[in-house]
Amino acid sequence: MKALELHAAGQTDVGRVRANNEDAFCLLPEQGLLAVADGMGGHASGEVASKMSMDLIRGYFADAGTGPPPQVGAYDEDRSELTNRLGSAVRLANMAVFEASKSNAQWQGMGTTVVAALIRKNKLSIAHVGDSRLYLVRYGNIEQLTDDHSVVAEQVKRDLITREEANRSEIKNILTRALGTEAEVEVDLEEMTLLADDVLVLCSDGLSNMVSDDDILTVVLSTRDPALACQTLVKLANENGGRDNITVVVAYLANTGWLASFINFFRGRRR
Amino acid sequence: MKKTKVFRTDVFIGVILTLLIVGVYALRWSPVEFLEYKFYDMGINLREGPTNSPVVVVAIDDSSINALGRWPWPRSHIARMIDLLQGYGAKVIGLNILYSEKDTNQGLQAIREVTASIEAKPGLQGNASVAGIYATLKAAEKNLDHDAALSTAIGASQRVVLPFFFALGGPVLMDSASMPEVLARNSVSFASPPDLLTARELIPPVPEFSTPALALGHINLAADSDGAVRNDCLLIDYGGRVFPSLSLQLALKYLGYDLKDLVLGEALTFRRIRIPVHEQSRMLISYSSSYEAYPFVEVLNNRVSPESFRNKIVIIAPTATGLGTMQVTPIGTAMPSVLITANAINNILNNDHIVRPGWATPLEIGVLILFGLFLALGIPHLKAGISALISSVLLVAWLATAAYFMLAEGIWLKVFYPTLLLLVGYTIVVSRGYLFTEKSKERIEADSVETNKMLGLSFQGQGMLDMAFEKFRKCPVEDEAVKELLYNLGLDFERKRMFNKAVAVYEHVMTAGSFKDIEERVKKLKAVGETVIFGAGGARKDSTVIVENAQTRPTLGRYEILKELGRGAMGTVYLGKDPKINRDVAIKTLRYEEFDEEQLADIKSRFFREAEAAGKLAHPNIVTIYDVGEDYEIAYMAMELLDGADLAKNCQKNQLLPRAEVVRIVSSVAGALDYAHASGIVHRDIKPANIMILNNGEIKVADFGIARVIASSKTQTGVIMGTPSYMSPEQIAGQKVDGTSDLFSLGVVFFELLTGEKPFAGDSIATLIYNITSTPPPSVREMVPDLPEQFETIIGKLLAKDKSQRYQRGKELVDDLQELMKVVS
Repeated sequence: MKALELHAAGQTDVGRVRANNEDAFCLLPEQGLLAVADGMGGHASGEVASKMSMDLIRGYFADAGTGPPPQVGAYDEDRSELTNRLGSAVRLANMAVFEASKSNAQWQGMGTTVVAALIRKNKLSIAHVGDSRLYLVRYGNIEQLTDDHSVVAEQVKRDLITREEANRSEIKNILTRALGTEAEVEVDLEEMTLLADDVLVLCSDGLSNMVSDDDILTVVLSTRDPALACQTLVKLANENGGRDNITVVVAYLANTGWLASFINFFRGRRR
Repeated sequence: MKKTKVFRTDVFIGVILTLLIVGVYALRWSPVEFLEYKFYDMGINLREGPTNSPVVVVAIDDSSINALGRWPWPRSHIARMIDLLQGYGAKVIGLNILYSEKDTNQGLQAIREVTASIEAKPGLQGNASVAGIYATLKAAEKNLDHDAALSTAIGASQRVVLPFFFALGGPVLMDSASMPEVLARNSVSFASPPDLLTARELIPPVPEFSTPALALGHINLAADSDGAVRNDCLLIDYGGRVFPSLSLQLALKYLGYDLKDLVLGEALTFRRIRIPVHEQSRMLISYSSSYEAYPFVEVLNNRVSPESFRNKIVIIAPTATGLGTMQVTPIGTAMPSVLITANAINNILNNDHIVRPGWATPLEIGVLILFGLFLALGIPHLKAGISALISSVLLVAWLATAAYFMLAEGIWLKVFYPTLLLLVGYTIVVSRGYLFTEKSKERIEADSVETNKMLGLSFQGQGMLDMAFEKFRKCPVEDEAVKELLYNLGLDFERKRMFNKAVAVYEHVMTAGSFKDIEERVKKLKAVGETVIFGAGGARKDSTVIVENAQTRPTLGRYEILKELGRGAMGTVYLGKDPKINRDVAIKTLRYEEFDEEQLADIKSRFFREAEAAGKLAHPNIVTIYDVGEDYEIAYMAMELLDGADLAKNCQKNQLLPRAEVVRIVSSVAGALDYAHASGIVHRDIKPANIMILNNGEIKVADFGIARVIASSKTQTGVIMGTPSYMSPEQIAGQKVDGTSDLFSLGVVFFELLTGEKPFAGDSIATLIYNITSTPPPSVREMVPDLPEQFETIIGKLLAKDKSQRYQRGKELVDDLQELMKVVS
């Protein structure tokens, strides 16, 4: 039950082609919360959707002050309480974006992807909808922990096309699932144990489409400074064309100092 | 918050449990006391070791009874034993047999009757045979008078300590003043009587024994609640005097001390001997089962070496089964009471005590509190494993400490109260943790209020106040937190100048009682609403400051509204501020409320289209439009804030401007129109009210294209907006409007500025319309005779009914006016 120290930073960039930035991200290191959203919809409503979802998820964890946080959707007994709370936050964001989209004609059909990670001690909970990704870098390897909810990912899964074909596909940006487009959304939940020196990368497709996994790995391993890693990744995506908004959150996990561990050991709470 | 709640509950449980156990401790709850006794007994058994005992017991045991006959024996047996022991050099002899009644010997009585009758007749004694019989009888009487024998033996030995017995408790039946001397001798009195057991009745030995005895001591035993005797009640209060126990008396006499030497305190002190006692002067007995004892019959038959008794305390006591009461002690369940006496004496003389020192109770309470604090503050913050570990360590440390004190120092600590607290507390706190976790999980699943709060906050954050209100409405308004949320939402509505919505929110809050300054706010908002928003427009022209409260400065879009400047055809004009660049602006508003629903979309789109077009104009004589927007029910336009007045008042006869000034104004307007027309924008509503003359003399044309959007709409719905005095004929006819129409209107303004009268007038709108379309304008020079010729020409050209007869461009008018200027000035 070792607590890990979290060093995280995030950056979002409009890219080189788009006029406005419909991406958003959310960092709440003291709560161990990291999230990235990539909005979609006309009349700049993508911005609204992504921002709303991030605000809501942040709010869910930041000021859960007035009582236990609401459980939205079914409680998954197989997952930890934390994972369920993260799922609740994402489902709550879905409700908000969906209701907002109904309220205003200009926002009709807006939606967003969300990938959110919650780190407490050494436990990682992941919730995601859409094609924004979470990568885990461990022992010098990079692994995508989230399955894109996109048509091409579905095609790859069914062996209809190869991964290379998918990368070149015209319909890469068509999602099978998004937050805010339906009254209820199926959120993919995952949880795992983290180790010291793990690195987490959350990004919108503006990064993953522009920068290969290997390059992400190289950049992430070249430094321990999350802000610098984010900057470098955004720069790389822009150099490769910057065809979409680019958003990335990088988090380095480190062993806490012996004193900190000692204190944490005694202050460890059950929840 | 949740954390704090857990924390508080644990503190509560810890404190309550600690208080509970302290209470049990104070009340000496018997189950725990029983455990404490068991711990004590265990300690006693472990402590037990050979002691250097000055006590020897002459035991009236089964073998002695077999040899000497049934109990009770003749008291002369005891007298013989006392004589014997005295001869052996015993230092003190204790007789643990209470002879509270005289011996009743029928044979002795008969003999005494016979001897008495002989003595009654003195003559008989002279008879030798009678004298022989008398002597025999006397010898028999002496032999049979065991009491006398024992009394003599006691008196002769001068070292016998006798027992007496108290009936404990109750009111004292005896007055101490009338206490027999023998009892007074064996007791002491204190000015302030110590807290002792009290006795109501004393059962002494018969005076024949007690008078010659060296000392008397009580043989009462006080058993604990489990029936075992662990204490010797060294002192008992009877009739205000303090009586020592037999064991204490024996020890004192052995040492040659006197009862008068007693000093009371934490301990009983007799010169160099200090006996630690706890409450009611009880001494805890440190038991040893090994003691020196010889059967009575063996001693009587000289089969025991006299050395065994030299300088010893010898106690003659019954130990045979069936004689005396058997006592329960920590070291055994059927112990003769002499064992207790012997052990007590040993403890006193060897200074080997079990102690409940004064600090034992504070220490035990301290440990209770320490454990309580650990329960309240420690366990909730520790992981299960750690708290179990620390709890066990604390427990073992406490038990080990107590055991050490007991075995090594003879200090008895009550271990089980703290132990009980720790065990019970640990179980409750840890299991409660599980229960609570389960409960919270259930609660969050059922709760939708929180969801609504969060969604509401989210919508409010996005500026979707109506949706936020909808969500907050679903939360219980009685909740203070919800009231706060609603209150803040109301403030947001106020900032957006949606006063009626704000009032609705506040009124919703008020359904659950007052909150903060809500009532005051509602009152103020309603007052403001009547003057500014809901009221019938022009009735009140006073410049109402919208809301004085700086905290809720209203906004329109990103502009802060500072105050109302006036009212136009469209709506109210406000003084606003652009906080981003700190620029004061004029904000014209268009309130949709005045239009029908079906028209609204059309009006809006036209308003924005026109405003957008006008916004492109950049000319020194045109009011610059910075921004246009829509905020809730209000469309607004932010424009250059002008310091000046419009020309409306300069059209009155007594306030006419100098001609040169009029020419300059018209020329400036013409220049502005030329520029605007070249940009494809027609003003459509040139009139004195739309032409501003600033304090620095600059001329500005306002409201390009916009005013007519409103006016025409209103016309369509049948509402006449003022009089169309400045309209061109084609405008009245509803035909396409172009730049020359503006120039016609400018002509009307020109005419009016010069003459103070309108060129076309009429009692009714119908007449006016007819005049505009059909009647030629009157001659300026007829009305103002000294006007130069050129004025007449220019105005005639401006007011031509046929568009093609007029100036085609503003520039042409400007040129003519410049020529005219030379004439005028």
